Amino acid sequence: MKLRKVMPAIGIILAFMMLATAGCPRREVERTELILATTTSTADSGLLDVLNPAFEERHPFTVKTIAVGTGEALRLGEQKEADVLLVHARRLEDQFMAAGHGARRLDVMYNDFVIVGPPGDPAGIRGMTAPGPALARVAERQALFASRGDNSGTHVRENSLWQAAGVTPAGAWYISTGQGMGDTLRISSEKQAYTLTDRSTYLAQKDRLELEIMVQGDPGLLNPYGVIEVQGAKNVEGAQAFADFITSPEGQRIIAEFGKDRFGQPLFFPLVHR
Amino acid sequence: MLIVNSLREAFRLLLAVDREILEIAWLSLRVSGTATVISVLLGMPAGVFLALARFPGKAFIIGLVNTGMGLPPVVVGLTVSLLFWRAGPMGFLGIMYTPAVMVLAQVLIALPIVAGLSLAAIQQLSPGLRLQALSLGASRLQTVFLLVREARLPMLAAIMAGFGGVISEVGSVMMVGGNIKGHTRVLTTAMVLETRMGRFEMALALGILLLAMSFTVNAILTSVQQRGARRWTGG
Amino acid sequence: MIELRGVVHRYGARTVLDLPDLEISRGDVLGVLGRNGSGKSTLLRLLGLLEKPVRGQVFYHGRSLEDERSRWAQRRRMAMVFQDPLLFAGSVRSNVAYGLKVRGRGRQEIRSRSDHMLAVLEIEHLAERDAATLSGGEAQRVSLARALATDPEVLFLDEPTTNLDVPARQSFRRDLMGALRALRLTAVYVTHDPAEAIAMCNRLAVIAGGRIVQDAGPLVIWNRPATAEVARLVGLEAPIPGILLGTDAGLARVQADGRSLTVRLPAFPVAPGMAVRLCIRPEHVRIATGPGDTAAPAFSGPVEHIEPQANGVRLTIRCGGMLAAWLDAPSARSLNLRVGDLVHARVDPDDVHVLPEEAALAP
Repeated sequence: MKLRKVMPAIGIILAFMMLATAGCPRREVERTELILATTTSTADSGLLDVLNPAFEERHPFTVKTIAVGTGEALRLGEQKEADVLLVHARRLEDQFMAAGHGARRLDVMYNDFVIVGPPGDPAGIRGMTAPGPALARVAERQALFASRGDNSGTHVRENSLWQAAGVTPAGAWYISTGQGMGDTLRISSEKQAYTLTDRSTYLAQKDRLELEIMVQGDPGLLNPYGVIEVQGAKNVEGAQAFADFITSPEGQRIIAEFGKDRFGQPLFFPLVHR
Repeated sequence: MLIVNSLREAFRLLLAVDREILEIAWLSLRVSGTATVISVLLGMPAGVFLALARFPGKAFIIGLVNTGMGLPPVVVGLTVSLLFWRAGPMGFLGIMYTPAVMVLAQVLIALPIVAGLSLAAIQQLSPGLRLQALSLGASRLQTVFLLVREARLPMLAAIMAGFGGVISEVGSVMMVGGNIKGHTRVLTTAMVLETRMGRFEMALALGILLLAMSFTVNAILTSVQQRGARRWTGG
Repeated sequence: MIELRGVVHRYGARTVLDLPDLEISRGDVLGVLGRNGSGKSTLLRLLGLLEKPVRGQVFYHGRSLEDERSRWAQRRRMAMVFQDPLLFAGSVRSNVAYGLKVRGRGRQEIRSRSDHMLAVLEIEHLAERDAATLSGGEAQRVSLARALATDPEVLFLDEPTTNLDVPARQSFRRDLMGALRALRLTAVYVTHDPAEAIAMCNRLAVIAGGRIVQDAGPLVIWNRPATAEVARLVGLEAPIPGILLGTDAGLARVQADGRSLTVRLPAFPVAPGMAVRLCIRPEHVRIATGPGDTAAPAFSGPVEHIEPQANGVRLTIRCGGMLAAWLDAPSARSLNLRVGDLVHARVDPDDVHVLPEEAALAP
């Protein structure tokens, strides 16, 4: 009885939904959708805005980019909601592959992490190269440190750096923001705290931040990105094509050039074809 | 199925009663509760005044209030941030990324909702009611009290809408609070974080907790109102 | 007790009320009769000090009330019942107590006075009921009890029976009348029902277009409306045209429908040859079918229309104009009239009311 009353309403809603979608022309019917799950920092850098059109020009796929945290990206791959992943958390990636969720993993590129902090440098770490001793001093002086605390690639790296420094960060000086890199940089600037950031996000926001680079250049701060084709994905062919493309000379050239015009230096460095 | 597993896991997490989750929930309640109380204290008299007073520019102000009811939290968050960031005009207060500024942002969201719905609550009363009270010898203030009492159900809905609007919003608390663990992290920002980390079960558990809290607060408000009605009836 | 002097009230550019002079004395039960939109409810709001006239003054006991404080003090000496009962949320008892509560009276007094009023209006059994659950008649009775509980010196009623069904209306009217008499209240009763005005009031003011067009005893207005507008309001719809022939010792001779009639001298200045209209109440017309009566019939003509009514029959007779006549049920049965039958109508000279032609034709 109740259902019968509701049915016409449902019918009307469905009809509206059909009307709403009817107007959208499907220009190229032969194009299939490729879902790329990546991290917010990758998407925020703007690299994909250059890379994806170049890929779409050569292949009959429309890339839909979902920018999420590394954890969520891997989880989406696990659920086969995404066809291909572009992430930067080597340890988690290896776990993902070991669990059989990925068909193939390829190194793509790297950028590097830097430790930034307030110009006043209360912990006195400016100019140090090794991140371990620098972090140990921050902890020792109880200088404010902002952590993303979101299990992202950056956060995972930060954790391993603390571990290497032999410090378990805790206390009022250790701020866990649970937000993306851009927001965490903003909070660090406001609170005059140190933080670990990828260079590209920092460069993109530098003008609006009261933060300066304190520590850089150590091999332990390199940040490699990998592409993973999801095992049993809906669009296996597209995933393969995408992984092949960004590791091809063409894709690698785009990566190497990206950011030079805006920042005067590249944001990412190719790992396959240098 | 993911959803079934997530739900099962969510309930298991809820029953485990994690101390951190309780602290997050308590902060949510404190921030949004305080914001709602302030919005009611300011917005209800404002709404009643707008409904009853006659002055030039009234229609314009009502238009503003009604527009404010649909204010996107992100806009509020951004505006408050620009004001309270260290470089901003109010930066000297140093309350950015504290619960205080979260309350402020949520007041800006809830105030137009409470004021607008209070205004509508009074306006939907029969216009004769005001004259009837006056003609029975009520003073202006007594008349206002009577009208508010007559409109108490929609008034209560105004409070609930205000509270519901802020307890569930994420845009402004994320921006002005910063989602700092143990300090400004509330249920909604925690849900965003857990979702980003791919911990959907936890996010869902927090969502269920949020709903349960909303429901409890509304149930308490409703029962207070019912008791109030009985007291009046008892005369 | 209440005086309105030079009162003009406007809503925007529209003048809704223009009352050069109106006085209400202690003990008056003044009916205000008018169509919708005539300004009668506005008059009540001005009297009740709920609105201020744009121009002119309202005096209570000889004092003009200008500041809100003294208006409020005077409002506490009167009460109002509106067309809608407008009961407040809560019990019947708390409603009746409201006026006393806002006056800050003691618990004991509030209780005893509201109980007394519930008893006077025979609604003690409803005391604990939720006001929202009452029938229309019960609710209006509670509204009246609430108004009377404050012991007002004047009671204003704005069409209080309009929304009631017939039995509720009659019993409400009866109890209201009883209360008015028992409490010797001054009252102003706004209505659009002339029969109700006559039943309830000892004085009647007819209001049209924001002006009082006649202010007299109810029966005077019923039988001798001053203008065509008033005539229509009391149910005299199509007066019969005639020519005034001459006057003679308090009587006038009028020619209508080809006959000469003797009628009471009209109240306005007359001159032979002037065109007039004759207003005759249907219930004052006696109908016969044959010329058996000794007195000459005033009018003769065919029956144009027969309208059965609850307690008789209303006839319309074509005789120069349209004459309405009312037959009680037994007469209607014995005469057994049909449309087209020729009938004779006789009317007492005293029952023919003469209006000047221009007034009769005015809209």
